[in-house]
Amino acid sequence: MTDAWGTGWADTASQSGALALFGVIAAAWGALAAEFLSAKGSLRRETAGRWAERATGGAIALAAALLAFRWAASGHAPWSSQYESSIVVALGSLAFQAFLSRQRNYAAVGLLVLPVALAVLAAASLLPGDYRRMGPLPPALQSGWLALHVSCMLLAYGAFAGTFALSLLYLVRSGEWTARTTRLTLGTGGALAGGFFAYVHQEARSGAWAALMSGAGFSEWAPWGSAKAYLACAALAGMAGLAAAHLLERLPARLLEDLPEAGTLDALNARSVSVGFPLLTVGIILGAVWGKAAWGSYWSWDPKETWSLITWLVFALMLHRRSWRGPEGRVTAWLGLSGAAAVAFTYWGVNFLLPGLHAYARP
Amino acid sequence: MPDKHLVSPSLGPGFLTRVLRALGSSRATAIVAAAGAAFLLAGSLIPQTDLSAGAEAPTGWAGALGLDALFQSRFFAFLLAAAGVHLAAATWTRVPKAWRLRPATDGASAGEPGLPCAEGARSRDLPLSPRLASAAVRRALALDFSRVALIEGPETRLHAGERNFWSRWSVYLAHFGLLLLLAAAGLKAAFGFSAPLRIEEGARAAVPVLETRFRLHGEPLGAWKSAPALWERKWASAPFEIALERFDLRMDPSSGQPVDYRSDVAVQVDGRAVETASIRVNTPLEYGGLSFHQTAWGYASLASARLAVGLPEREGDWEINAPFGQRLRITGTPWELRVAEFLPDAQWVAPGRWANEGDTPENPALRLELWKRGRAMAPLWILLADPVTRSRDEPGLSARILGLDPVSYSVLTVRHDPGWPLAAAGALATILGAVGAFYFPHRRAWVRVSPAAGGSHVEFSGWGRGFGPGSPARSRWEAALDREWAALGEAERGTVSGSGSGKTVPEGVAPLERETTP
Repeated sequence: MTDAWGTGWADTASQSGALALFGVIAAAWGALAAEFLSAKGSLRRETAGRWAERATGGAIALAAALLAFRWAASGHAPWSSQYESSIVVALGSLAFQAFLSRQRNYAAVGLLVLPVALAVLAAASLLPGDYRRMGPLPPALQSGWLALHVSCMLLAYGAFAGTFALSLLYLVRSGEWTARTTRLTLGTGGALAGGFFAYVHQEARSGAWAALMSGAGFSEWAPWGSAKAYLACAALAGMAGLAAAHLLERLPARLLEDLPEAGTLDALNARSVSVGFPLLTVGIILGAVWGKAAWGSYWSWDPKETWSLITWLVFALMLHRRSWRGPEGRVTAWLGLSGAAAVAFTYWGVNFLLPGLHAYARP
Repeated sequence: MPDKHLVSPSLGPGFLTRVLRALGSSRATAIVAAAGAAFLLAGSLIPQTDLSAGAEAPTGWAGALGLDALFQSRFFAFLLAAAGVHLAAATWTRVPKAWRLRPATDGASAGEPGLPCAEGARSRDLPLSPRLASAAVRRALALDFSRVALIEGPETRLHAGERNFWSRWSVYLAHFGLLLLLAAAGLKAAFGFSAPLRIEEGARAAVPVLETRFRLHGEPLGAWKSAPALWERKWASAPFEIALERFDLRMDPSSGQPVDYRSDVAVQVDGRAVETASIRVNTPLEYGGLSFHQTAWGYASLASARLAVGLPEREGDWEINAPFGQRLRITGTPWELRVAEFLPDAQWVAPGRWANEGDTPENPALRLELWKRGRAMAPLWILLADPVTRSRDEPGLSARILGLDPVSYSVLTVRHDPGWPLAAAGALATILGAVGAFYFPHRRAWVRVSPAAGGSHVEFSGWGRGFGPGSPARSRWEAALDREWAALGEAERGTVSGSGSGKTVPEGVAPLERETTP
């Protein structure tokens, strides 16, 4: 597609900008890791901390500039596709990290928040070229509701990146996260995620899931060529998951000390949900109002709607659990992790695996 | 005498209370949530058939087991109803807890009030008389809590403070909003309808409506007497028709995707236009209590095709405007042709055989029938996407499509949803409730003062979002309490005349001797 100025250079520029954003966030993460692995009170630690903060600020500015650029070039709100929306989610995660490090000096939490932003951007950057290009809005998206509904949902997802990190860190800090939990959770999760990405990047034949579920069998949608790639990626991701699990299990004692107390992590977790949950609620309702205008029905049990409702229910349960039992964090943390998994599937899985009315991720 | 805020409103007779508490218990929440999540998972992963749109029954094991229409099943309706009952019961049974400052199970013994919760409890012995310690507590509570109450026992005094009292009601407002949404869904399912309306350009169509007739007292049941329902529904036609005057489509030249399409329609009563409108995806037409939404479009047929035809042993191409289905002679030649078939989305099946996959112009193709001096030749399939198609049977014969003039059709969805106003109110209540509950955090604190050797024993506990032990709000308030105690310690022998924090006690907070609530 050509941009508003009649050239295609805007696409190249914005995709290069996204790669640069990935680099800046990776640098922020590196500086953060260096900060918390250095001896307390050392000059190196102070310098690394300063650079981590600067890099995070720079990443926020770059992400905002990228969005503004895409908005100007395409002429519509820059969250109409999977690729564009990933920049908004990354921006939400970065803002949460900036809040943590500036307001409360809980920057160590960013060791897990920033990788979420990196993962979202990396997955978006690996999408085929057609998915990344700016394009004209399909008629269904030509509405003022796009800016409101989608931005609420994506900012909620950004806040839930914080929920993911804080829930996991709570379990590690409070000693609930054992070696067995690590292997089981991250190994399985890694394999599933790997399989999913392999599936997506094999250009997932549309309707594959429908064919499988209707009893047509695997042979129609997964010929051996793609099955091999599927298995290879699943194995690689599984190994990566196990490596991460190993690291998490043996976090240096120094790093553990830098993490806030378990009770504080739990309180911060509640705060991240108190940002994400109202945004999710408002986003779902705005989407329903838009659905009423566009399709005539405010709720159609479309997979995206259904999974948004599942996500909402999980976080509602998490909030109610806190309300009933007070800040006893273990179950709350597991519910937080489940909610984050539901967000990941709503954001990525539904777009590529389950056909429905919200089929805007594909070109 | 108990404070008026401590009186718990009755839920009704004992049996009803027990039933309501069971229906609204946290265990019921877990059961409803688990059943709902399992149902939603199954409904999203197993492809669902939209039975309301008149789709054909699906095949495969999902269809055989009846799992293909989960969201239209009676079980799902029951689940939603159960969720509604649970939500109503949970809200109703918790209202008294929101109202009173002391829960029923407060550990009171021998007439002395106990601390209602042990969360973050801490205690301290003060070298102050219980009366002075109570004064300090009272003043400190009044600084940070808008609602203050006192429960007096023979020896012990329990002070209670509450901030953002109405924030708790925001939660119930959100619950009420969700109940309204469920009720709206029920209304929609019972009395709403949706139906597709396919109209070709230049044609008009009757508008289907699903009429509801209530069975009132004394009305004969007629043909539906065996049905237990209180109303019956029957498809009929609205007293007006919709004519599609023009369907306009604009494609993006680079991607080949539609960027805009609209149906210019006229509402006709007895053949006379009473209203005209342009319906787009986000711009529906509202008329006669119904809404019309642009849903789909396609090519119904072809009016004519503009072709470039090359003939054997002749130089150059003949540009022909061929009306669909008509046999034409190519001027000055022995050749005749007819555009016999039009496929908007042609897919190759076998040599010489093509099938149509859809009505949108994904891959338009034409089948040309040709005659030479009256003798039929092999038909020729030509695709819009091909630069030129050459005949294998007749060397030198070629054809290409220069342009198509299709007859479009538009599919509008006719909808009627009597629950929409209720749904809008529910959505608004849910948003207001969620924002109120999260951004005006409710918190409570209790301080019990009892006599002890050398002074008084003071115990403190409290809860609320953002009020956990170590939280900034909690630390701030505990510091205020410490300041009050310190100031009163200094003035132990004098008259208590002011707050130790130096802040002014808000108006409406009565002196200790006249215990009331603001």
